[in-house]
Amino acid sequence: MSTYNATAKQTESAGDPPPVSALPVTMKYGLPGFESLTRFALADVPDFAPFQMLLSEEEKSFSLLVLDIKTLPAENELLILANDLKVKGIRDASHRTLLVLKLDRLKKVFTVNTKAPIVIDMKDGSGRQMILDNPKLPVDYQLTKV
Amino acid sequence: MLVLTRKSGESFRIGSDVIIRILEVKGGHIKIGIDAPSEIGIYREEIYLKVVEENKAALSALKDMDLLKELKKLF
Repeated sequence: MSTYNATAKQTESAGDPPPVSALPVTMKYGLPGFESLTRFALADVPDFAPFQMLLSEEEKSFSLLVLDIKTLPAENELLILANDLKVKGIRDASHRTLLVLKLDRLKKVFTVNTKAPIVIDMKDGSGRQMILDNPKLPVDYQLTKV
Repeated sequence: MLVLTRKSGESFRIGSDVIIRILEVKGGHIKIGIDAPSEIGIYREEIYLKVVEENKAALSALKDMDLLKELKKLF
């Protein structure tokens, strides 16, 4: 899979980490809430591995912080999620499963959305945000207190 | 909005490859079956809207680097 330097493509602002490399990702149907955005780049966050950013090539202000499910401990809801994905055929090494990370400023906790993982087919760079119809999967699975 | 009246067992089609069939009408509930290509997402509206809300709320996570540094300590 090819990579390219996305540094020049991003608008840098104070406090934002500059991306160093990025993987092009195409999402035919966009993301829920951002259906018009179809071209993205998955970029590392320097000094903040394993976190990555999903950046829009079409809307420079769009960036989501994501975590690969493989970087999280295989327990509780994450096991349920992995099993649900297997049932849907997402099981081989050619896919990456990313969870969107959110900061709840009120509770001061980081959560990941286990109900709607972003699945990327590494063979062709296509991706989509799946929505799993399983009530055991929360949209705000808490990672930890900070 | 297009409004159609259908009885149990009847169906309607959206485009050439999406078929929606009324399977059962009982009390205040309607059970429907949907045949559609696998690449078309089919979601309960309230769940889709919840994911929209979560995605929009997640946009700001990268802005607070101090909190991100704290979270990084766990990895």
